[in-house]
Amino acid sequence: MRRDIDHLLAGTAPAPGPGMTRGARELFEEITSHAVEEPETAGAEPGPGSPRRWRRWGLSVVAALVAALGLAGPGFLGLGAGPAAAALDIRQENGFYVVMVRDLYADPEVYQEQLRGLGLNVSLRLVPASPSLVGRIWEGTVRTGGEPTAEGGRRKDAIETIDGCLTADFPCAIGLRIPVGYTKKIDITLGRRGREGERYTLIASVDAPGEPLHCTGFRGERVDRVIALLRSRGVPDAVFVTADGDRATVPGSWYVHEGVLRSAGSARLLVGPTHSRPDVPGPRMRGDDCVKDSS
Amino acid sequence: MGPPERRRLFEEIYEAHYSDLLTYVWRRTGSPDDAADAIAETFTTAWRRIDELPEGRETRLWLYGVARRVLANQRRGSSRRTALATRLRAELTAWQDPAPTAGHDRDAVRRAFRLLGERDRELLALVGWEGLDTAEIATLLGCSRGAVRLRLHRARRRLARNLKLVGSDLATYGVRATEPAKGTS
Repeated sequence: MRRDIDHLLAGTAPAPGPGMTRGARELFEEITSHAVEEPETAGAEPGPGSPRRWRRWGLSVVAALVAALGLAGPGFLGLGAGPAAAALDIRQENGFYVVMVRDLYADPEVYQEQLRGLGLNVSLRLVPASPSLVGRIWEGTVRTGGEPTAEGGRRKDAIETIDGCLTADFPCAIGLRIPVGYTKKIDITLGRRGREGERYTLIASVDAPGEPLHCTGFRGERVDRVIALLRSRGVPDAVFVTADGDRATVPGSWYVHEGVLRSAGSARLLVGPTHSRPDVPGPRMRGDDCVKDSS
Repeated sequence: MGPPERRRLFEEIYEAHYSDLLTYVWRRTGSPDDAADAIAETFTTAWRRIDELPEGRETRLWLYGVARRVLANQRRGSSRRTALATRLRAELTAWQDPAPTAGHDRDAVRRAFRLLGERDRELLALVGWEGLDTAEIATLLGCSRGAVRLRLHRARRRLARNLKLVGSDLATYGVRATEPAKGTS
């Protein structure tokens, strides 16, 4: 019977907090960047319920805060790099290392150092990627000059990406599963979201699943309509590729044949005055195979 | 225990209990800043006392005990803002707490609950929200199981009285709730 009233009360529990977030992991690094008090000092103190312990703890916190401010001053004020923290979160699970990227913009050497620490000969590089390619993995070095496509290169072996990053929603956790004991040397490139204005290295067709014009039937539409579509989907800027080269503006009555996002908020559209696709160098960006249910 | 082992142990503890502890402090503070400070101070204490932490199920109770005192210090205005958890503070500020489930019954229980004293609220919340049993609460509060049973019984009875005060039909729950305990109190 007592459970009745407990049950009533359980139904009023405020929602739990947001759980283990990036901030929580950063807090972990911040806390463990300080040395643990030596056991002989700690052992001399009573348990957590003792007032004496808590008076002592009050002094300890002041000391810890001074230390934290001294170490992380500029970072705390938003002026510096902030407290040193691991770039990768790595835990072992069912025979795999589950490697989650915590710092998308860390120096590649920082990733290497952590992976080497596990005995893995894996070279990891993160490059800015169009939304649908964030979290996707490629083997080898992705071509950087110009605007390479995202064709091919996906791995078929035991190294896998972490699921859950195939939409345009941000922030998107990205990571890898690597078998424990993996000994081959391998170069991995992982798509990350781009900073504001940063050109994408990994590019997908603008109507691919997860991209802003998926399932809009934009191919063959007039420039004006496609620009409006892009704006309605959070992409305010566009540049144009024509048979005569790149142009900042073209007549709104021209036709759009293909497109990619070149950075967050900026598209690059292949356009021409007729329904015939202009003959321009570079790969064709394939259609989106629109399936409404999967978008 | 060397530094790497300490860090590994702390990481296990942090991974296992962070969400529960955040939920505990989140439910008892009105502000993201207070919640971030409380969680930072609680786990900073755990890190500094890593060699003393009890093992197994008692780890969580030990952490609850620290969080409880951190929150009490906050209420007394004697705690400090910590320089830690800057990002966490921002995340908690941005986090949208889902609207509580509406309903006449739940609203009445919430009103009746708020009329209780702080000690009663904490005891009943430990049972109803955190799902602790009498023995666990006794460990957490450092008193006997018998004392916890008695205090819980009185808290439930006062909640039942408050349900009547707020005019809830659910007061019958409260009456039933107190009936089995009559002979034991």
